[in-house]
Amino acid sequence: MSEPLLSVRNLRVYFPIKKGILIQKIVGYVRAVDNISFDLYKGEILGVAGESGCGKTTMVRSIIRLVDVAQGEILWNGVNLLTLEGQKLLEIRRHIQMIFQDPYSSLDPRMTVGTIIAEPLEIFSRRGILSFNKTQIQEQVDELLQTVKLSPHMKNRYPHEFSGGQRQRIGIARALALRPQLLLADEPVSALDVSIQAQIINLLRDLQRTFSLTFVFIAHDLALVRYIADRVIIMYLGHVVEQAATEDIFANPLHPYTKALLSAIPIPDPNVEKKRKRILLSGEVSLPSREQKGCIFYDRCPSRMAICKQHNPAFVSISKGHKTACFLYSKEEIGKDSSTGI
Amino acid sequence: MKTILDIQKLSVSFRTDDGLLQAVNNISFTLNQGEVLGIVGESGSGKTVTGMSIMRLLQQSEGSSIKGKIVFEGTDLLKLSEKNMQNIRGNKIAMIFQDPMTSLNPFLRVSTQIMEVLVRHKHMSKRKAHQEAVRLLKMVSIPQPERRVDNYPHQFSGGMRQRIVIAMAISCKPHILIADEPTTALDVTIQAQVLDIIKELKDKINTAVILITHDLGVVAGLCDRVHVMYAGRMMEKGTVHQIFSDPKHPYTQGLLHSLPRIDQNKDELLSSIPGQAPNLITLSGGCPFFPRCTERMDICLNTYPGSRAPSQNREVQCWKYEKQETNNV
Repeated sequence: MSEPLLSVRNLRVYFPIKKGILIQKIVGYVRAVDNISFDLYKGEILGVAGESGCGKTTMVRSIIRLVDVAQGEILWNGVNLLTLEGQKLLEIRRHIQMIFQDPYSSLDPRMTVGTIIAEPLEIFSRRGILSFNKTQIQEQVDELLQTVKLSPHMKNRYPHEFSGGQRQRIGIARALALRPQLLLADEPVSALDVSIQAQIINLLRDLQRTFSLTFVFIAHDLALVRYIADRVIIMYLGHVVEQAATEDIFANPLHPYTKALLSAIPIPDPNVEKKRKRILLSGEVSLPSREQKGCIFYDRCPSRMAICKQHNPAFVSISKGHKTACFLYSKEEIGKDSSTGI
Repeated sequence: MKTILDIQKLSVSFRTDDGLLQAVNNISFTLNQGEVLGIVGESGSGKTVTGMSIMRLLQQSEGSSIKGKIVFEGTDLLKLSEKNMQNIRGNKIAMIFQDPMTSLNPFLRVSTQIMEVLVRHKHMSKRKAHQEAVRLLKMVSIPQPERRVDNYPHQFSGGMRQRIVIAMAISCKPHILIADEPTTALDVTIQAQVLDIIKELKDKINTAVILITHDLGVVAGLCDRVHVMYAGRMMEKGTVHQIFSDPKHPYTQGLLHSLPRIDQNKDELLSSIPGQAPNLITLSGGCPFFPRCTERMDICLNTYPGSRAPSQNREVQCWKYEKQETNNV
């Protein structure tokens, strides 16, 4: 672990809220991702956890430029992806691929499985980044189907002929087609049944070892994150509230939100469940569009203090590799106010 | 303990364009007063159809059929006229549905929707029903219930909507509450709030709960007994401790092992169940788990095992175990 493969610096993604029918005026912004920084090292699996609306999907989508970024830098081997266009962007995009959450809507129902998996290879060959001819592409498709444990003779079938688990395998084969270095997996198993989830998780772990892939793995299921990830970042309302090695987060959670989140996960064991004490958070997640002074978690925090209402805690290291943004641990550090003037 | 619901040999099938779909296949179980019974299974296992049959919410149309008996306090619900059923549905047996976004009517105020139940079943005056609606919202911890009661569903968040649905379900103090995946659409911290409310209310109004879910963690925390369904069959029954610490059916065992747990050593490989759930239309007479089972035998292919008892008070439908003594089916 020396130089990071990918560095995200002060990333902000804001979506405008528009009002009016003919003449639309921007009346505010949804701060989907607000000032996020982290590093990703080669060969690791970084888990991103948080509840719906915390910005985890938007953050990951902005890495492959599926959404527009308001501010910040995304450095791939030192090159800022946000400044690239056209051919140059394509060259790097080849190395970063995505696996989507819903295996039903992420495959085109009118294309055969073979065409779906071949498409990235064809596009990149046409644009001169790869140089495969038709036969070579078909060979690759067969090989990819075998890699995800489907049979190559299935390639003339259509997505509707497959079950959810099999479709997700097809999506994974498509993501692997360009031999990427980084895979962004956005809740890849949450739409699947439990017994099928385990199959896909085991497949992803296998692939990671065989192809020495790096993963950003989004999940709201923390048991899954703990199982698969080397490091974890916990997000709340567009902010990272805690970041640490997986064992540290689960053994020694610092941020009150992380603690509540961990205590809320049901454990499939009646003896453990009977003895557990839950930290019940009051209230609901507030709107990310609200201008807010102080800590974003203030409204729901069981350990809030006077200072939290006035100031925003900085995201600081508490021990090696373990960072959090909370005044319980860093009394003096006052972070910059999250408003940026746009 | 007193049995308040006795389901005997329930089978539900639907006619589809591809053939007859056997959604629920000859299941029997009982529900005791005041207990929480978990029905666990993956999608397509028939758990929701079971809940809907108890509520008589399935259309009996040509080609589709519901067979068996659903005995509630001495009467077979399947034999009741629709009019008599309406006196029970929402009154003595109530249901919470999975998706709080679609189970409330978006055009009606929350107060109207809760009052409707009270006026219909408890014959309350509108004014009284309105007061009662406020009290119910308070019970499920909706802040400022006096003001919020006249809001529309879209003015509430997902977790609050589910609590409103719960308030509506418990408004007549039902004897049975059927909760069909009540927290699946919610985030974990909100899920914890909602489960807490169900647990608390169950004791307050002394109702029996049937909790239908795919989440084994939720079951472990809330249920007294658990039944496991697969492809329309009731594979295994037991107390929550029996099912989790000593699962007998190969499917239950596989299901428990395929879950990652936050209190488990992470170097253990997840053991997955190979293959996928069967097509309910082309199912043969044998065990539906046969193609995926690691312990299958020749007999499993064509003959269904029926109830067998590996030990006292256990019921498993698997050829691995000895035949059960006949008196209870």
